[in-house]
Amino acid sequence: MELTGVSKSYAGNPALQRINMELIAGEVHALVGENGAGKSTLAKIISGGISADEGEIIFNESKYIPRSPAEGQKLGVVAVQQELSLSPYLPVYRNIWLGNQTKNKRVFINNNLLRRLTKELQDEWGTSINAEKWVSDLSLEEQQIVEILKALSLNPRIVILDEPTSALGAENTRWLLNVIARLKEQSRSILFISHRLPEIIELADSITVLKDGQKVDTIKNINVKEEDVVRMMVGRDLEDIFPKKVDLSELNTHPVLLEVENLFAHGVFDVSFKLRSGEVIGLAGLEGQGQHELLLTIFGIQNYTNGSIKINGNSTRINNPSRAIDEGISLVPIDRRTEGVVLPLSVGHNLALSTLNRRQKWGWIDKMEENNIISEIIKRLAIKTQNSKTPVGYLSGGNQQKVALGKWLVANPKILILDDPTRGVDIQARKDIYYHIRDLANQGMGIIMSSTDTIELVGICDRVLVMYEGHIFSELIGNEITEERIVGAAVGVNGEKKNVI
Amino acid sequence: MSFNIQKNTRYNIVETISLSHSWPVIIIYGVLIVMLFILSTINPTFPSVFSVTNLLSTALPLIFAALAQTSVVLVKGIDLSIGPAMSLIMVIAAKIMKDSPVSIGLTICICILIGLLIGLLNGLMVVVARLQPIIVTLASSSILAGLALYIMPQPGGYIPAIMNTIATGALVFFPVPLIILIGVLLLIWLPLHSSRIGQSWFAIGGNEAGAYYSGINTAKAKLSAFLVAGLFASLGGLTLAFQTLTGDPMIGDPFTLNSIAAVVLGGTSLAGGRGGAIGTIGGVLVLTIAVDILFFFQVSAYYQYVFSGAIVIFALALVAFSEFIRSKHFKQLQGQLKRKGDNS
Repeated sequence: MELTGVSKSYAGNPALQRINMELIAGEVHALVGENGAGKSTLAKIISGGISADEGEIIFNESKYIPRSPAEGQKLGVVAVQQELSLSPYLPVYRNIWLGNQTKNKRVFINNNLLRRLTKELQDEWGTSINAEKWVSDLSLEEQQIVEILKALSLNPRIVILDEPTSALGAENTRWLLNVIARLKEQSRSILFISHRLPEIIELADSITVLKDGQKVDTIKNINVKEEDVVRMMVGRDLEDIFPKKVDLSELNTHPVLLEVENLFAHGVFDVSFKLRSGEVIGLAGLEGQGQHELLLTIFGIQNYTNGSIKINGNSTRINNPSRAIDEGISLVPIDRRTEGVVLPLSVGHNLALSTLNRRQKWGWIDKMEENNIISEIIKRLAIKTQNSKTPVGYLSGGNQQKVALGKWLVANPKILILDDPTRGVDIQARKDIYYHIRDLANQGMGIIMSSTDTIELVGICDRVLVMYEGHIFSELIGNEITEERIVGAAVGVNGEKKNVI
Repeated sequence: MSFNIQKNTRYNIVETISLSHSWPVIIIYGVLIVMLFILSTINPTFPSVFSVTNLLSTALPLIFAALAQTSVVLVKGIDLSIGPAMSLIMVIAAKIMKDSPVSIGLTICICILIGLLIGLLNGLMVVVARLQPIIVTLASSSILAGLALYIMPQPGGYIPAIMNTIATGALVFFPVPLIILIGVLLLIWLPLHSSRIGQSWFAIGGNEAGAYYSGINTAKAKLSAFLVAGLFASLGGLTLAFQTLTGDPMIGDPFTLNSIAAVVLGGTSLAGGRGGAIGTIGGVLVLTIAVDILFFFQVSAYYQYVFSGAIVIFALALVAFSEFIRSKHFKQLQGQLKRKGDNS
């Protein structure tokens, strides 16, 4: 397969610009890049999920223009998408053969045939998932395996794997690597998208690096080191985008702002930690291991069943967000579009929202004071907007996130909780956000942030708590914070469980 | 090269039942049995062929309306035009039907075609114009209601009396409505359910983007759901016409909301992807019998509305509660299995 000049843009924002790429039979081709670099977009164009604006794809010496995933599948191109394509309320054996008409040609579904085919498929690839269960009853890991089996059932010539290992544990990652090796022997091509560089270095024959929708380069994987790839991904050395950390020994003399002891809640099991003034704590782990739930619990959106939360040494019972705000806690939610900002409202309105109660006098809002605060925040966070009256929906993702952050700075919190603050945010805005986080910490704020981006956690956090199935699996301080250790602990290896102080 | 992903878990029978996904259906039929029991104690003529036939006759139009609603709700839609569509079909039937068997057969065919046409137009607006089902069907419900009133401003028209005898009678010991119901289930619902079409409804309702990426033609599948809704609405309208032997342009109005109530009662999720005809029919029967029981206690018709509303809320709470228990039990069980696995 050969791609020439493939481009795609959304509402004027280019997502991919003139990508040229080759995919050779029997090759494992890795696609790397940061969040928002255009990897998934490219994968969707190749699999037929979306169509390119420009450029052409040659597949088997003829033009390849799939108008839907179904057409791509017929031609032998199958994608395992990052968002799972399984239907939650159908059993596994039906899900695998959903939409696949090669084996079950009749109009009516032959359940026993599908059961047998599923059994054969599982035997062939060495898995044993209970095929009778509804997909909604499977763990995320099992769902990912079913998804991969489903792709294999189509007998594809090109397999696109979009972040397949992010949901897999160590054992099943090994399983997948074996599957890939077998596919390679059968001279099928694999396009492999992953954040985990060690995996890529081990597996790939060639590596294509994307950055901001453009191709940086394609390199053959011979003697390539991780640092080389990272430099290509980021386009500059890592230290540049992260602010300088503070001295750890000095940090330990700071007063404790927040103390969580043996906390139990939905999705959170026996979590204890302390947050000091001026400290940035990172929550790491695979998605859905309780990071999100822990943050929600501290902010009072979800109640805890056991344990205690102390603020400034005083016991308190936080059972709703308004109580949390009174205690000086602020939360910048994970999904800025639905929870963080109100898109149709202006920048100024959004910034003023969180403190409406505090600034009203006899039910009236002091407009003068409000405007002063707003323009100060816009300046401080370098929010790129025409003026404070522009609706937030018109701003770029990064600037929307700055508004979500700024909204809480108006409230002047003592403890700031950030739930994956840089998801889908471009690199320049990221850098701004990182510097502001460190700035706020230096002013004495305590900050807890969760993130799925390991590099970011390494760059900015003083302490990283790695969560696994609701527990804090491992605590990393100072020099212990490396990508390898975070990723290792996230999938549950080398995690000598430490007592968290 | 074999890796053990998960130890094959076998549940015993109690666990299988408690983890079943059919809880909403089991509950609604449990409630139905209780209500049938109450009915038989307060009504000396129940159960008899006559009273069962009567009950099913009363329920049949709503069953059709609710089956129409079920197919649309399964694909994450909603159809607010079912009631007026039934009225329109009914007045058309009453307007054009004559005594001859040819006329009767022809009218039935025309009515079904009109029903399919209504479903097609609704579906096209949703699939091609990409409008929200709730808006499309709200607008079309107004259009259909207007058309029905235009064709027949006052209740009237003519349906041969023989149709009533057939539609509400009993064949030896088998109530005709029951035969119709079983026939519809066997000839329409079962084939749909076990075919590619029905399967794609469930897939779309569960995860539309996922269904698309699995190579399902989601547009066709959604369109088919609206077509089936139109078909069932026309059957409902015809049933109303045969039972009352007239046309009434307003008779269908309450059926829209009642069909939604029955669907919800029967355990079909308004979020799509789960549920089905069996539960829905249970829902309709519970609603119908509830009204019957109230009638026996001579409760005012106004309170009957209040009561049906309360029943829906109660049933929903029950379903939510059973779902909660199930998931809790499921997690516990998984935890136990995991611990067993760790020890071995």
